[in-house]
Amino acid sequence: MWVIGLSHRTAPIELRERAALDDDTAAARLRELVSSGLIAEAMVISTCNRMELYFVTSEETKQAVSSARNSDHAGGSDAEGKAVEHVLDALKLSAADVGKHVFLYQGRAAVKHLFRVAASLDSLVVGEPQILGQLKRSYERARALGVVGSRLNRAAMRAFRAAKRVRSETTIGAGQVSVATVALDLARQIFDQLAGRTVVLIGAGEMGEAIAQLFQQAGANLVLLGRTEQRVMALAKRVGAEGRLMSELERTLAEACVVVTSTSATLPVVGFEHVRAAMRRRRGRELFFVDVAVPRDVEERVGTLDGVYLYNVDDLSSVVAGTQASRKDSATKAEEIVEAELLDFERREDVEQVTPVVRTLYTWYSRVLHTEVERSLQGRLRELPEVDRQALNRLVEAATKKLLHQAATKLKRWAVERPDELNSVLEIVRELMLPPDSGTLSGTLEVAPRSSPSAEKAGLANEPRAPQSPSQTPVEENR
Amino acid sequence: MRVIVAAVGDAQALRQEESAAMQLAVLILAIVAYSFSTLTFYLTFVHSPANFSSRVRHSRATLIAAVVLHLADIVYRSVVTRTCPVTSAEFGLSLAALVSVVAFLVWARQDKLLALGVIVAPLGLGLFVASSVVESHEITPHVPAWFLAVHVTANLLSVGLFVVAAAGSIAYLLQSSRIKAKRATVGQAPFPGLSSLESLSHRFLGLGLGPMTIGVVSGAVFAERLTHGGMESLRIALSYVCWLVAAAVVLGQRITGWHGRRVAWGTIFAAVLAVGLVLLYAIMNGSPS
Repeated sequence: MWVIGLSHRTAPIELRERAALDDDTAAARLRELVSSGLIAEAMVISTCNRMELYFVTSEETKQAVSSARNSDHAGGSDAEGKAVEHVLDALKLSAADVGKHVFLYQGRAAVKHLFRVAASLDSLVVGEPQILGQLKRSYERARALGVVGSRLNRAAMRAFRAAKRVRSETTIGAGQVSVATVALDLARQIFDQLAGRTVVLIGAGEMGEAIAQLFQQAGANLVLLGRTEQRVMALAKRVGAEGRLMSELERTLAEACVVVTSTSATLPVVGFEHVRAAMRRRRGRELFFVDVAVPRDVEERVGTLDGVYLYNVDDLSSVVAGTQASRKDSATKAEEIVEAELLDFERREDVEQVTPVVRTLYTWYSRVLHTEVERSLQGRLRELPEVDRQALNRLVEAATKKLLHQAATKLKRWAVERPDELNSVLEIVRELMLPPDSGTLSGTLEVAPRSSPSAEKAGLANEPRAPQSPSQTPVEENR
Repeated sequence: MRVIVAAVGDAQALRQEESAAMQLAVLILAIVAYSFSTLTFYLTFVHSPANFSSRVRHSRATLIAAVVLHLADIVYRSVVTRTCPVTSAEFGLSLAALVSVVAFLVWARQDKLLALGVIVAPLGLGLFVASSVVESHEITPHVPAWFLAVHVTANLLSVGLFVVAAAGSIAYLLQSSRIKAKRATVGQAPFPGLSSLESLSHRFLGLGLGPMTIGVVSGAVFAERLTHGGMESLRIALSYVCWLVAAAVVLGQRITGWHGRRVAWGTIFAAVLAVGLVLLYAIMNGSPS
């Protein structure tokens, strides 16, 4: 599994704005990637803090890599490089950004990143709960598109499990300082009491809605602004707010104390002139903007106006940075849980790689025995009644299972205990127990190489880091 | 008889010495209490802004002690020197300081407003120390004593209230700059919200404007009787400007709804003019405007 992306840790907001994908564009890109034949499975998560694409290369790509590895040929790197380049193209990212703003992880590092993201350890506000919901929705969307296979499915399920454990076994979410609570605290530093004040929500982004609801709970009157009357009124009714159209922006700004924006618009919806005109009507009364949209909804120079306080996602991040220390212990415990889940996942993945081999062995043995029994049934045993024939077939099935039971158990144990030797063992199994022309095993016997713990540690210590060019077999954990 | 007179004289001299020593002790204790309060307010502000209100209770207690000693000093000095506090220049400064600190302590019963102590305590200390070093000038106006008492009391009351208003405005500007520059921290803001600070400034400026109006009007009555030297004319002009600025800010807020930094600067300007007037009044040899 691979992940390519950028987040608040690696890229400034300007770059994240350009890389952000709305649902429709994300769906189109996923379809395009999978139809290329280079990628078998893919899932994209695009929030205000990150845009990441998780993918699994296709069997053709894997086989090209496998053949190249067996023949010590560089073609494997080319095949993977081509897949990575294709993903970068689809995401409109430049190969030159890889290593600077764009990270690229493979294998264990990619899975670990997914687990950390789900557990909110990679979040702007460590422990915030929104990311898990966003990740689940991204997974569901990809699944609905039919671009999630068994590998991504297993990784995602395990990531959700790790996140659930982190939340229930640590206090990482307790006394939570989230972007929403930071916005509320800042508003209180300006207005003290929020009861009876007007808070305006522009856009229906999840984060914006969460912030607006928090203000509403503090007693503020909520006003929703939107482009289409029907949608705005429906949403306003749902959240108990007053609905207005965007044409009333200036009047609404003149009345508001706090404006929360979280639209998916690609251009700012609140311009400098709008706010300047509103501020004239307000006679210097303070106005607080919380812009959690990416791309940003409020023109940057609005913040230069006297009496206007403008905070975007990155500004809020610097505010919450100081609150992270108190959750350091919980985060350490959460990292341990993620590591334990990752180890368990890897064990199961190794066992998963043995399963097709065992299945092939079973099929082969069963087929051989059935062929022999069939031959006898057509010859000397042709008078055998139907009931006995069925009993004989059942006996063959049971005998096959018993014969292979020990081998299968030992192979699975081997996968868990000595994963590094699994490749050689499977090769011996193929040599000893299967005919030379059993082509069905050729693709499944290959086990992805695993990095050594030291290499893994080195990779993580420098995380996020990625090579300069995708064609250089850009594997985070190999460094 | 001569012996008796000498003995009485000695006893009086001894009593005066004792009184002077006592007065000095009260003065020093008041300065120590003000200094301790100022220092603890400042240190808590710098090191524990998050728990400011719970940690400055002892600072408030010390400030209250300072106020009691300050009052004792005024009473004692006026008794020893047999001077009416409101007709003496150096008492003017001392009373202005006392009014501002008492007004703050009354208002800061709400814990969050205690943070303003970091501004008010040093201002009180500064004015109190200034009053103790300024040479005493008995004011000798050509008006009845009660009239002068009303005039000076009104002016000192307004100066004290303006000082608290300015403290609120300074805190407003600091807090506003911090949020504007995106240096805000969660749960660590020692000052109350901007709107509370603005409302506090507005209230104190409004409260001070009434007495100042009385002071200006009463001053205008006997201003004609004064010999108009350069400094006196400046003092009279400054007092009018101060009143005009304060009135403009208060009316601007009440009638046209002005808010924000400009109002804060206006309040500070009015307070600086008011304190400057008292300083001028204390330093200059002459009668009040």
